[in-house]
Amino acid sequence: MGHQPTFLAEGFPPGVKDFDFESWIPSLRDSEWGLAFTKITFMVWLAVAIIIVYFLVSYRNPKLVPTKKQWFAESIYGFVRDGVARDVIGHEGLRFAPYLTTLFCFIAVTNSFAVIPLFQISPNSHIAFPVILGVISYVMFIYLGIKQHGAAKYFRTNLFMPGIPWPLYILITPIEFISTFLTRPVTLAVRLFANMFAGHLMLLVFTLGGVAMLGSANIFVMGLSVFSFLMAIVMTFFEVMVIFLQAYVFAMLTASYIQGAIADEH
Amino acid sequence: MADKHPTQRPDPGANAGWSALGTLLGGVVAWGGIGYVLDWWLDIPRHLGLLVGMIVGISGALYLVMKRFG
Repeated sequence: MGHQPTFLAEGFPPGVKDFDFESWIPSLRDSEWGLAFTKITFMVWLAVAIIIVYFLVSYRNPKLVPTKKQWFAESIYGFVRDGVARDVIGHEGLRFAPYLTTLFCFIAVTNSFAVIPLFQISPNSHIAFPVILGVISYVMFIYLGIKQHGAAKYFRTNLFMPGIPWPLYILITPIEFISTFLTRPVTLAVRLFANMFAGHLMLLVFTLGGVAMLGSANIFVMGLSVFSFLMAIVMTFFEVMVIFLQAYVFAMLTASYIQGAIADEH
Repeated sequence: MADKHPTQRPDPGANAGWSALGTLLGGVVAWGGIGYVLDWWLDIPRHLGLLVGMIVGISGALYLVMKRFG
């Protein structure tokens, strides 16, 4: 060991330069917009375009007996409407189904870039995107709660739990405040970010580790690289599961916060 | 089906789990934070404020979880 492994292809160990997409559009170079156009932003726009075009195309000519495309689009919407909106929020949750479906599709598609060849990183492994998604859900459930109950009643029921002796409020109210109004958006954002970032690192570690072992002078270490590559394949399948699980969890938790905000407290 | 009881519906299990976890974390963070600030403000040695705060916080959070889901 000890020497630099020889890499198989040029530009193989991926680095920061792979995020520089400004060379795609020559007039962007050296302008301040050049820095804004990276692989990550490109993937986000691509995801938005894919979702819009897919749903427009599959609903352009709806049939009573759906085509395969229409059936798939309808089953995504039906899954979020019945499985998330109605099951978690209840009957009035149906009006949030479009938002929750959009959220689910956006996270699922952007997450999927983590395992699609040539992209192989999810925009959600950049903390900025989960933070914005978390903030949208956060502002939304507080707004809905205030609209439903009025600000005073909403904050009173959330901060002062009924039915406990009053001295305990000194102990309980800071906990309620932190867990309802601070940790919720933070955990929403960090859960998505950390899952996608860790997944990306896992795949990198096993793939690059395999390549490094393959470049070793020791024949034994070289043979062991097979296990590293096998592990990379296994982790890719695991990552596919995490991708959809995280999209589902994000939509489900948003729904559950909305439910908590608009529910009648006892 | 869930919509047979529109007013009083038990939380699905996963929801209750996530919010219980949030409450427990909130307890430790809230009172641990208050303890830490007291440490720094009153020069309490050996992070005693942080320690006591975290214990107080986890007991408060446990009480809250028991009240809400028990």
